[in-house]
Amino acid sequence: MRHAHPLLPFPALLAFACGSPEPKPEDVQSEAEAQLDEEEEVAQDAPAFPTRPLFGDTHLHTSFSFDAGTFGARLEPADAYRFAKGQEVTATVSGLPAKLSRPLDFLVVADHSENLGFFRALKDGDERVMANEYGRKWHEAVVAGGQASVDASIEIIKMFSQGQFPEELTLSPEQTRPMWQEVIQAAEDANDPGRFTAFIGYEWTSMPSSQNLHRVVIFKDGGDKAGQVVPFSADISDDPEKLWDAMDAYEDRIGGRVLAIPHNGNLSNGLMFALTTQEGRSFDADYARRRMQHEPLYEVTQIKGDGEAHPFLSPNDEFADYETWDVGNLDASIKKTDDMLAGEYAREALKTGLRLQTELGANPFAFGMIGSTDSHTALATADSDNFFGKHSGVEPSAVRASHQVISGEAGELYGWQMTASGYAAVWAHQNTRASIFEAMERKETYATTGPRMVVRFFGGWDFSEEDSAGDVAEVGYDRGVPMGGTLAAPGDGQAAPTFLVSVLKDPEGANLDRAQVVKGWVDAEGKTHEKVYDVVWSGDRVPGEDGKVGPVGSTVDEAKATYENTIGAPQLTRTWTDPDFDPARPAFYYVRVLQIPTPRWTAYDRVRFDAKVPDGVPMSTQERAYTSPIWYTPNEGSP
Amino acid sequence: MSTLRRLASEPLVQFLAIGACVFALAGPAPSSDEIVIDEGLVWSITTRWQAARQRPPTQAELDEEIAQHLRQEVLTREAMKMGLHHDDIVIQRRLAQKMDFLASDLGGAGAFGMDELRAWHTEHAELFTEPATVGLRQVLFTEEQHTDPKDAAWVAYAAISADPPTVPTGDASLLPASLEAATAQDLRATFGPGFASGVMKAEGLGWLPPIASSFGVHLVEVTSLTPARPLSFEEARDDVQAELTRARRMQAREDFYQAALERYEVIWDLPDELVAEAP
Repeated sequence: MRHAHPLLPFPALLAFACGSPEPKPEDVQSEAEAQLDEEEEVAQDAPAFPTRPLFGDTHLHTSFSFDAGTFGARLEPADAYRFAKGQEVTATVSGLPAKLSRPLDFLVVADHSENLGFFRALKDGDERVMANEYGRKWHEAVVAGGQASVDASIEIIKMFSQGQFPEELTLSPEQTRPMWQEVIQAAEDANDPGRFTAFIGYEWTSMPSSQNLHRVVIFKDGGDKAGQVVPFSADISDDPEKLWDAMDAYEDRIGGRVLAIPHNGNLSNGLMFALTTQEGRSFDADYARRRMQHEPLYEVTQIKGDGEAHPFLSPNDEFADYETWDVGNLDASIKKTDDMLAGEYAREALKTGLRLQTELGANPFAFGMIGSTDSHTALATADSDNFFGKHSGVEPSAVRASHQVISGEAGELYGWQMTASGYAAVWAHQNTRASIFEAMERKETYATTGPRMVVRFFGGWDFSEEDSAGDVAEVGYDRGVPMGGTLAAPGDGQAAPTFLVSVLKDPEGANLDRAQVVKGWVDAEGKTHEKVYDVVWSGDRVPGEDGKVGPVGSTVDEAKATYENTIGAPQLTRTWTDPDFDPARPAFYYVRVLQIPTPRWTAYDRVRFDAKVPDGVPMSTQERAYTSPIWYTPNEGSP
Repeated sequence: MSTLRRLASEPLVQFLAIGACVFALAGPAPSSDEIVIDEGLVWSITTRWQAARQRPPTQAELDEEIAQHLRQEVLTREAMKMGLHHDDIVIQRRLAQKMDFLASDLGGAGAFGMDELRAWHTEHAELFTEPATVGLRQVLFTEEQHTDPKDAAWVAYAAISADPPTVPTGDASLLPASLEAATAQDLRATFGPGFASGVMKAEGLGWLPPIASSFGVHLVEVTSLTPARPLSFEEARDDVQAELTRARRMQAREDFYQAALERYEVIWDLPDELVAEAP
């Protein structure tokens, strides 16, 4: 036999053999160069500072993910990008037309790297699949569709997360290469510098004993670089440090840039922000710096619950119990206990980071915040009135609220517990891969649970009340640092840090209830503390003796799924000075914004589909935004 | 269009070309029972391994990969001798897919002639336009500052054309006071849909009557107006190339299928009630 190099794609071979008009390698190169040129051309018009936040989803699955496909998704990355750009597509299972109220500015299709494209093989009844008892069973279930397919998917995820997935059915990383090329091609085709950014990315699905350590990996680069590797797989290692090794290798060898964003610490049973490395070593400064270099952001809110704060950890915060998922780990096989919570929630981790910084000289948890959907439908929906659910089996319907989505020894989670959340807001100068990626690296980002609020947050030492009267950007960048930054050292006579907090409502959404500053600090004994300050609120409410402002009220008509903007404010702005500042102690400050109550997605489902929603299910919600913190470190120095 | 290009776009010629290529690929009749393990194979295994794991394989891993390759090669050939590849839905689907790819590659790739691109641009001008933009200044009247912001806005609007004219000031706001060259989509993202459609209706420069948004009531002065315009061929060239490539690929795929289909006699042997359902 004449030996053919299996690496070359078939059409390339053809070109080689016949001299057909297939593009030569130089042509491919010049295509990548053309994209770069376009980015650079756009970059010439860059404003001095970011003028509007870009909204996007960094974490979306399509049918290329083995679990999404089994759940019934048929839409592929190209469909996902089309949908994010504001075009209409047809949802797979429900057949409903799906369209966003407004386009997004950017999207990362982040399919699971493990068994990327497995679903296609399963659906097609690939030989290898049919040779396996489970493979045959699942193939039949997928062909049958409906609940059988959903049940199969749950079983697949369960076996996968328990490490019991049949080895014969596991695709090697190399076998996923053709699908990876398709993922890349879809992003390249959709990327439109200046107007819409399509990032190349994937999800590394590490979950020792079903304890969720997943990370979404995002490339700054185009296919010319990202195509030279295949996604790192948790089958090779489930240790984040090994993922960082692979990221380093890519950056050193190919010359690209890449970052990772962890999510769902709430399903990690304390492992996400554990105090030792995966190998059981104690942290040191090198580890801390390395972690933050690779993982500058944390995905704090998404469909599988909100991870900002937990009422057990923050008993004095009446808004801490928001869309809480605290039954157990990812498949509810191991019950959650209170001692695990400190390793799961963002606010607590930020506090722990301050303590570790005083001990190690570097902070391993100095992350910024974003939200994203983690939808497995190829539809990046986070609006409560337009929510397509976690996977295709729970697209809008009369019964999805009462469906079981996770069930194990620790308990059950039901469809109604899905959270219509969230999006990533990024203060980038421009809508390009480079500009958005760099804003993520400097953590100039915030999370929203869906609404597109405009949140500005600057820290400095001499902001006055007049500085927050109008557009705060110019003065903020001039005399302070934006969210994600670290306060410079105070000058003479500057006793406490001042902050500009400025919020505009979503132009197509609900009014604002209040903006709060959440402060965390560590005392001289090494004990961590937190305090939530109401900074600016709507109406003429007067804070009580405890300094807290009462509820804004509600205009929600749950039976009709409507609300009125007759309460709350369209904009909130104020200059705030920390009243309890101690210059000797490290601290962080971030802003939490609350909307007035609006109908939850369950209320819309009940009205639209006459859905059966179990008693006691919440029908209204207070959507919110969380900014990246601004840190203060005594005697300066980045965290 | 060169003779060669015209020829190349004939489906039958494409079919023959593909046939020739497949033959060239397969080499002389695969009767030989030779299986060559050479440096080429090692190179491709190593490259794949490197990409997946960020390191080359060890000797033991390489040996294992080669053994697997050999096993697969032998079994594949035996299976083909036994005709197991016939009537296998997965293999058939994969082969059909490869033919589709081949056909579309022949149709769409490569450089187009400038005349061809220009003609395509002219024929599909509607695909290549730049959206209209406006430059504006705006002031806001809020419910917080006025019992009736709409009324306040109308009063201020009337004062603009009074003698002497008064430029309205409005209330403090975090919204941008001015924008340059904003599209309808930009306006919607910042001010909402009602504001965007109100402003985009402007027919000339100057102050517009009050426009409501969910922030309050605005007075807007349009400072520049650029209508939507067709992009010239030079501006749209990259997009034209991409669109034409896409269109040609789809066309080539379909042409190829139709040409191939003609070489077969399809016998429809279905009971009447199923005919309508047939593909």
